[in-house]
Amino acid sequence: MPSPLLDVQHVTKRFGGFSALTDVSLQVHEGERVGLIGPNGSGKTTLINCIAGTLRTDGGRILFRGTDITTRPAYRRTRLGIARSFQIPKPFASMTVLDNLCIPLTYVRPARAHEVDIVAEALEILQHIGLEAKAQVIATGLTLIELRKLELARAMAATPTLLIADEAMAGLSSAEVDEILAILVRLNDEGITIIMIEHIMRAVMRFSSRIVVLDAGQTIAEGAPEDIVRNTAVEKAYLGA
Amino acid sequence: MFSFELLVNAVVAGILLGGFYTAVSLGISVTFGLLDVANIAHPVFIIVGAYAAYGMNSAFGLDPILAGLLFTPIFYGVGVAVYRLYYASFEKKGEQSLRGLVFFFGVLFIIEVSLILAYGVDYRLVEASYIGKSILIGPVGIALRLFVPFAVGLILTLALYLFLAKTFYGRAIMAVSQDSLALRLMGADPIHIKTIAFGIGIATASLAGALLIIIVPVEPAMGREYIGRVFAITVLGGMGSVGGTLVAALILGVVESLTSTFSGPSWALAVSFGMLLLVLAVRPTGLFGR
Amino acid sequence: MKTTVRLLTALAIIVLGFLLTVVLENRYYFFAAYVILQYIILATAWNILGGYSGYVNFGTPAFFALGAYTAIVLTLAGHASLPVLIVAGGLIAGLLGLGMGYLTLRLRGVFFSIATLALTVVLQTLVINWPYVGGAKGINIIRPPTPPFFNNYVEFLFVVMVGLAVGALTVAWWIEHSWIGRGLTAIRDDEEAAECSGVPTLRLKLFATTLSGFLMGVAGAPFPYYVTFVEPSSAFNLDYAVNSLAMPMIGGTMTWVGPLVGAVLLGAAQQAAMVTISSELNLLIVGVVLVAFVILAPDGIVGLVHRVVKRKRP
Repeated sequence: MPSPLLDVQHVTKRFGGFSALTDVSLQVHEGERVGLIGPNGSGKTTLINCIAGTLRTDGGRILFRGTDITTRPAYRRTRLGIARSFQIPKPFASMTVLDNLCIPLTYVRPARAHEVDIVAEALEILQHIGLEAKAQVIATGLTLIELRKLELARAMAATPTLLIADEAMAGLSSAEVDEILAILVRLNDEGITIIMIEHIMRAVMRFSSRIVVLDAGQTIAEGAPEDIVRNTAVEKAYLGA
Repeated sequence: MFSFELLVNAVVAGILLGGFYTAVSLGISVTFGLLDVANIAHPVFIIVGAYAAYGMNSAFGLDPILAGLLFTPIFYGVGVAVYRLYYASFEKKGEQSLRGLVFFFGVLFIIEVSLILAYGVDYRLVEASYIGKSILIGPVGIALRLFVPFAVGLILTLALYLFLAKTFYGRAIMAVSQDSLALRLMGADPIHIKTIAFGIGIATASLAGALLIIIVPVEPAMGREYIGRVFAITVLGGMGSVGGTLVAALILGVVESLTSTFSGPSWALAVSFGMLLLVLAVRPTGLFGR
Repeated sequence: MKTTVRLLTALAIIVLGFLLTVVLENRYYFFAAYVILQYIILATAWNILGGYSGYVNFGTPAFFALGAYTAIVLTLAGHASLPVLIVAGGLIAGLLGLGMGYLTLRLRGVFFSIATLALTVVLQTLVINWPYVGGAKGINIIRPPTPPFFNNYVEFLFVVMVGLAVGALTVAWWIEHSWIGRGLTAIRDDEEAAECSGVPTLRLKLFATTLSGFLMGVAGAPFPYYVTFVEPSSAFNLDYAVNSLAMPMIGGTMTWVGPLVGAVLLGAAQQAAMVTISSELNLLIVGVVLVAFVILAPDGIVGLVHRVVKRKRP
């Protein structure tokens, strides 16, 4: 078994007296499509923040491609290949869609080239994701699905090896969910490992090769989608015993 | 020159000062600690309170503390008005806190300059029966002009604590600082609650100002000395914790008093600033932090 | 080609400044212009951190005075020449910016602002307690001999300030259009998203604070020679705090032009008003205008002009 791309080892995170994550371990291998689910407040976003680096852990280690990144700041983790999208879209509100992409394109590979190449690459990503018509629109003028696409496009601009999509489909219509799902599938086909946090069950079921369930800061189940669906502990967590 | 008597007196004076500092910081504890509004103009509202007490005192001979209590409803109203303006202009639109900060800075400035225009830069003071007298307990001299504000400060702290813990609006204020969605589900309007809270924060400035002018003579630019102190206390005490604010204020009071006695009064300010930086660097959640 | 044009423009402005000293008779103009130029630098410096990066610095007087007092110390200690004073003043103030930033920028922006608010009073206290630089009473500084081609030292300082102002504006212009400026804008818009997009937010913020402090110190270094008598209350004057903030906010914070517009308009208005109304009333008006702008026209005059121009286009 080749070593995992992402290795989260016994991570704990506390906020004051409250334990958001307790001894959480997770391994993700290259090329996988992992679904991360759990009731509200179970710690999914906290875990993502710990992996991405916007939160410091209180215990445990995180390894990416064998390197210990536990104490590395978030921007370094992005440069190593971890990208994430935000649950509530956080665009750079004063910039155009195109300029939004230019930020990761400029900063993820600092030795990078000329303005012309950056803009060209940004446009290419926008075409890939279906936003090229909105390239010159200021980010505040976008609809929800467009904002969610921008989130993903910005993550793609960081040329990640691992993409963590935090509820990228929340609040979208059924057709829009399929659109985002298609984008994620395509990214995975191109070689990007994806962790998807989602509440929309049909999306998680269809997308994931493996599902991890979190409840009250701990992993309570892990396995293939069919098994998770039948797991009583999972049922309890969602419905309450 | 060190002597035990000097030390004890300095500590006692520091504790008394700490009681006063609590009164001064309670407003920020509510508006910044609980509501997350960085009202840097708060100290200048306190100065206004001091001038209000001065006005009543010099015109009618009214006791400053009574004047402070008298003006409290007016200050509450001003606080409500200021918050409404702030909310409509900034928070509602989700603007960056940059503009909110600049807004309060502008308010601070306008008020301070207005005071200069109205009263000039000379020091003003009040007269009351207890100013100028001291009680002696053994080697310790307790100046009444320090003790009375200390006592009133403690009472004010207790009153606010009880309000926040026991009354509906008080608990709603604590709730809104933690989870305004839950509050909305309970049927209370978070904006209304926040407005009340901000009003209360400014209302404390009236009494705090009265206490200030009992302790020292006042001039318009004095508010600036208190900015560092007030925020240092609020952060050290753990944002929004009334009990924490009291403890932090006492600590700062004692440290300042000791510094003032043994190194000279002008270093006292550097102390509070140093404490602010230290707290921010080491434990930004404060002693009793959430 | 473009760079050469810009360089020549900058030089032309400085030469123009020099020519003015030859042509104009009334010394008062130079005194007034010096103040305005000083504010151009301060407003531009403030805006690099405030407008570009989104971090509000209320402690301009601290940085400005630090530049002035560094110059005083070096003058007293070794009669250093003006360029040395300027560089040293800038470096020391820059270090202060770095220190402040390092201590507070890992926290929310609000804490940085609060710390800068307290900074001025504390620094002023330290200076007041330092007899070497005159303490509370102040100190007299003797101007060096007037260099050749100039009628008097003030006119020389005026041209120096023109050069420094042009330099500051150039720095602001360059940052705005560079990758650094892009990163600062990202930080201002959404710091967390910027960090996750690969922007080294702490480093860039520290850069901005240091540069901003440096420029403020540079503005302060010639001050002792300008006034010849320096006391803490004038060097640490709150005017600097309000104006260096109001000028960019009123002029416009998004570009290098805003602080220039704000400084010229507000500075000139204040100089003109100084003879007719009291300085307190003057400041009151600035405060009111500032609040009005921050509520009603947050993008400043430049922003308003943009909007008008956009509407005219089809």
